[in-house]
Amino acid sequence: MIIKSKQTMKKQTKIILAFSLLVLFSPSCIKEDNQPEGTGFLHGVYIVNEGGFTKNNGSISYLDEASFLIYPNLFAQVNNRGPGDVVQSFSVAGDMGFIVANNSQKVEVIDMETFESIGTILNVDYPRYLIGVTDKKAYLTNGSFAGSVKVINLDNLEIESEISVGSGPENLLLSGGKVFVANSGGWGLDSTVSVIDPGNDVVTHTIDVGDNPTDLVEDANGDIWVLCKGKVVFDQNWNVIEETDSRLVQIKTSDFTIGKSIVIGKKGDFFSPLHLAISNDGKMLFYAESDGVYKVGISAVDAPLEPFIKGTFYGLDIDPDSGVIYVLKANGFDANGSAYRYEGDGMLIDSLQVGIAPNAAVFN
Amino acid sequence: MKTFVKYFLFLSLLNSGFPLEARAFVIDTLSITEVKVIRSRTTYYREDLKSREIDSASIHRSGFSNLGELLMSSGTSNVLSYGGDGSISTVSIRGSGSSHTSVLWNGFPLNSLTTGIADLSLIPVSFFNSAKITSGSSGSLFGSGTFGGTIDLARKVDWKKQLTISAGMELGSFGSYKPGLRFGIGNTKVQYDLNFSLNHVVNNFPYTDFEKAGQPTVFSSHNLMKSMGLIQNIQFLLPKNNMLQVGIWYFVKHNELPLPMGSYGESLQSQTDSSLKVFLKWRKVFQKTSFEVKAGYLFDHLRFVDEKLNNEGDYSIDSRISSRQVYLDFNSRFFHFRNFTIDAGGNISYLSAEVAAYNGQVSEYRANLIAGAQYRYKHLKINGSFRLNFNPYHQPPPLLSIGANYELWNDHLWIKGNVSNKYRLPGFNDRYWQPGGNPDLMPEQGWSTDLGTEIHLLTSADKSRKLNLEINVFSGRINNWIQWSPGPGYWSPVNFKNVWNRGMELDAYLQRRAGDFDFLFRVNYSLTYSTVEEAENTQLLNKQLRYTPKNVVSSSVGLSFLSFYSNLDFRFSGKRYTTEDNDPFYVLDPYYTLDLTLGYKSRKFLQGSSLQLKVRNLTNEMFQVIRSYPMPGRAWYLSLIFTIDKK
Repeated sequence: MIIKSKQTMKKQTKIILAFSLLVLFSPSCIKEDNQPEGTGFLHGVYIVNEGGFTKNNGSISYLDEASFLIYPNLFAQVNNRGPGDVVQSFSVAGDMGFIVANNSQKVEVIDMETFESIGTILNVDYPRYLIGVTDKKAYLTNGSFAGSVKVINLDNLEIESEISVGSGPENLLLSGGKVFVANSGGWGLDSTVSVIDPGNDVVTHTIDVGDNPTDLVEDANGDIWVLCKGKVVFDQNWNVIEETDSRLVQIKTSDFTIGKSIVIGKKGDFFSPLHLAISNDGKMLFYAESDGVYKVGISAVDAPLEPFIKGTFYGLDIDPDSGVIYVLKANGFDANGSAYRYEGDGMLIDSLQVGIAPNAAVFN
Repeated sequence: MKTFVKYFLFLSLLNSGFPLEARAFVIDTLSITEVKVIRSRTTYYREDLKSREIDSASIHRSGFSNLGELLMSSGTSNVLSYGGDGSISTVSIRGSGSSHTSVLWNGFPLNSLTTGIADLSLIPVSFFNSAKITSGSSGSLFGSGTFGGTIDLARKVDWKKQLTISAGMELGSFGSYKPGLRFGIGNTKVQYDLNFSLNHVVNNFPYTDFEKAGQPTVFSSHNLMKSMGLIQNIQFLLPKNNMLQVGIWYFVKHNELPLPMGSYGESLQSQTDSSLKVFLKWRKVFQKTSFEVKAGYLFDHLRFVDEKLNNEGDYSIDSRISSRQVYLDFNSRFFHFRNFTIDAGGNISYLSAEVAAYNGQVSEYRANLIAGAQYRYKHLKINGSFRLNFNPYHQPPPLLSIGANYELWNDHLWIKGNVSNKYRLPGFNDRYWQPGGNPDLMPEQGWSTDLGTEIHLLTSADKSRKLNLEINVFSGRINNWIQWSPGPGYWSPVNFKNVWNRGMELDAYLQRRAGDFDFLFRVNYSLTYSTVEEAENTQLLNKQLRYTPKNVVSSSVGLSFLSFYSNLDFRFSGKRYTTEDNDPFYVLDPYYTLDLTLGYKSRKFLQGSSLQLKVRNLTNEMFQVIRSYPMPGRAWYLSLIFTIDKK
C-alpha cells in the first residue's frame, strides 16, 4: 500500500520516514505488534471517511500523532469487514468508540485500545451523531424527519429510552451540564435547538435559532454557537420559491436566549454549510463555505468577505489541544480523499491521503 | 423483371432473418455478393468489425430471462447486476462505460435518454430472437455512444409459419414464477407475432453477509421483482417490391431495491419502469436502388419512491421521470456500379423529457447526415462511412470510419481491420439537471482501431463439423469522459478524464455432428486494459477503470441427442477494482459460475414443445458483481412449454 503525501514544511523528513514504514503494513489486519504502544488506539486523531452511499466503503483513518503514522481503514484492518455504509460520525466515550453507519442503520461499538468491535447498537433507522453524557449513558441522534435522541446504556449497549426532539436531529454538544441538539430538519425543515437535562432525560428548552441548524460549538465564554445552514423551498415544479441565509447564531447559556446572528454565505449558491469549528482558545469561529474556510471572531458583527483557506471542502475540525486546523477534501465518492493540516495562522503543514469522502476529524 | 422480383423477395427474407434452409429455393438465381447489397446500413458496413450473433439455442435456454442474464451466460461482455433475478443491470464492452454500449431494437435506441444507459433488465429475451453484438462499432454508422459497441435486437420472421400457439411456464428457486404466451399467424405475405410474459420473483435467496460480524448467512429481503411484457410484430411483403414492418413494445417492471450488505432495518425504496415503443419500417427496391424509411416513437417512464413518510404523511421521495423520443430515418442505396455500393441517408429526432429536476419539460432536435461506400474487388472489401451530426450544443467533429475485410484463403481465412472515430453526446441529466446540469459539456470523443482474423477449419460440406477461430486486438481512446463530480455546493458533470482501452479477444467455436449426436464447444477470452491517462486527480492516472476485469473467460459445452439436450455454461471474471484509485481494500475477488441445463425439445408430437431443467450457479459460489450487492447462490428452474406449430 502506498500512501501519498505532500509535505511542505519542517516535519517533512520525519513524515516521509513514517509513511515509508507504513508501506510495510498489510491491509488484511493489524497485528498487536503494529498497534501504537501504550493505550493502543485510544488517543490520536480519527478521520471519519463517509464513503459512497450504498457502496459500503466508509472507513476510519487513524493518525497516531506520537509516531506520525496513519492507519488507513483501521476498523476493516482489525475486524476484517467494513464499519458500514455511510459512516456519518465517530465519537469516543471512555474506552469505547462509536462508529455511526447511517445507511446500515447501526452503530458499531469498539474497544478503543484494539479497535475491535465489541457490539452493535441496532433498532435505529437514521442514526447520525453520538456523545457520551455520563459514564453510563450516551445520547444518539436519530431520524430523517421527526427525530429523537436515543438514550443508550453503555453497560449493555441497549437503547433504554428515547427523547423526542425536533426533525432531523444532527450534532450534539455537552456544555454546562446540558446537552444541546441541533435539529437540522433532516429531509425536511426545522429551526430549533433542543436542550436536554441528562440527569432526567427531559427537554428543558427548545430554542428557535434559525433555519436548519446542523453544528454547534462552545466558545470561550461558555456560550454556544450554532451553524444554521438555511433553507431552500421548492414548488412542485422545482422552482425555488423561498431561500433563507445561512447564519451563525449565538445561544447565551445564561438564559438560553439568542445573542448574535451573523449572516454567512450567499443566496442562490445551492450550498448548505455543514461544518463549524472553534479555535483552541475558544475565540475564533471557523466554518466551511462553498469557496473555502472562513473565520470570524466571536465578538465580530459581520462575516468576512474572503475565505481564510480557499477551496471546496467536505469537512472541517480543529484539534482542541494543538489548534491545528484539519480541512478535509473529498475526491468524489469513488476515490480516496485528502486531509490538509494548517497552523492556526493559515500556514499549510502537510497533507495526508485519507479514505473516501472524509467529513470530520475527531480528537481524543 | 421476374428475376428481380425473386431477388427482392429473397433480399427481404434474408433481412428478416429467413431461416437458412428456406433460402435455397431462391438462392440459385443470385450471387452472395449481390444479396448483400441490400442489407441494412449498419449490417452492410460492419464486416470489418468483430460481430457475433448469440446462437438461437442460447436464446432458447434463457427464454424466460432478460438480456442481462443472457449476455452473462453467453460471452465476455461485462454485465453489472445488483443481484437477484431481474435486478437492474447494465453492460459494458471492451473496458468502456455502461453508457458506451448502444442497445438497439430494430435500429432504435433502448438506452435511456436521461442517463444514456440501457437497463438490460427491462429487455425480456422473449422480445427478440436475434441478438448481435458488435464490438467497437463506429460512430459514423451507429451514432452516439458506441465506444464499447452495439447490441442489435430484432425478431426474425419465418415466412413458412402458418400458426404458432405456445404457452409455457418457468418455476424456480426464490419464489420465481414466470408464465408466458406466444401466438403467431401468417403466410408467405404477412406474418403476425405476439409474445406475452409475466414475471414474479421474490428473490429471497440466502447469502453470506461478509459485512456483518461473524459473517452470518442471511436472506435477501425487499428484493421483489415483477414485470409484464407484451410485444407484437407484423410484417408484410407487398406487391411491387414493397415491404412493411410494424413493431409494438410494451413493458412494465416493478423492482424493490434492497439495502446493501451489512445493513440492518428495511429498505422502503422501489422503482417502477414502464415503456411503450412503436416503430414502422417501409422498404422499396428498384432495379439498382433501394429505399428504406423508418420511424419510431419511444416512451419511457420511471418512478422511484421511498415509502418512508415525511412530516406531511407523504412519501419522502416520489420522483418521476418520463421521456419521449421520435425518430425518422431514411436510407437509400445505389448499386449502379460493378464494384461500388454507395449509401446516402440521414435521420432526424425529437427528444423530450419531463423531470422535476429539469424545471419541467425540456426538448431538443438532433439530425444526422450519413454516407457510406463499399468497394469490392475479388476477395477484398473496403468500407468507408461518414456522418455529420447536428445538435443544439457542442458539435462533435465529422465522423469517419474506414475498414477492410480480405479473404486470404477461400472460405478459410479472413483478415479485417477498422479505424473509426466516435463520440457520445451528454445525456439529458448531464445537461439539464438542476442544480448541477452543465450546458457547457463537451461531447465525449475518441477513436478506436481493430485488427482481427477469422479462421474456419475442418468445415465439412454437410456442416457436420466445423472449427472457427477468431482473434482480435483493439485499441481506443475515450476523451472528455463525462462524470459527475462534487463541486461547491452541489455535484456537477464535467469532462473528467481521458481513458485508453486496449486488449485482445480470442474466440473458438467447435461443432461436431455424428449420427444423432451433436456436440458444441465455445470458448471466449478477453484481456482488457482500460486505464485513465489524463485526469485532474493524479491518484487516478494509469489506474484500471472501476468494475472492469482484465480477464474474462466464457465457455459453453453442449451435447444433444435426438430431442434431448444438455449444456454447461462457464464464466470466469478476474478481480475488479471498485474505486477509481484502485484501493486494494475494495477489490472484488475473481469468481466463476457454472450453469447446467438439461432439456427435451420435441421434434414430432407438439413440435417445439420443451421441458427444461436449469441449475444456475451450480457450485453455489458466493460472489458480488456490484460490491455489497450479493448474487444468488445455486438456483433451480424448471420450465415447460407446450407448442402447436403449423407450417
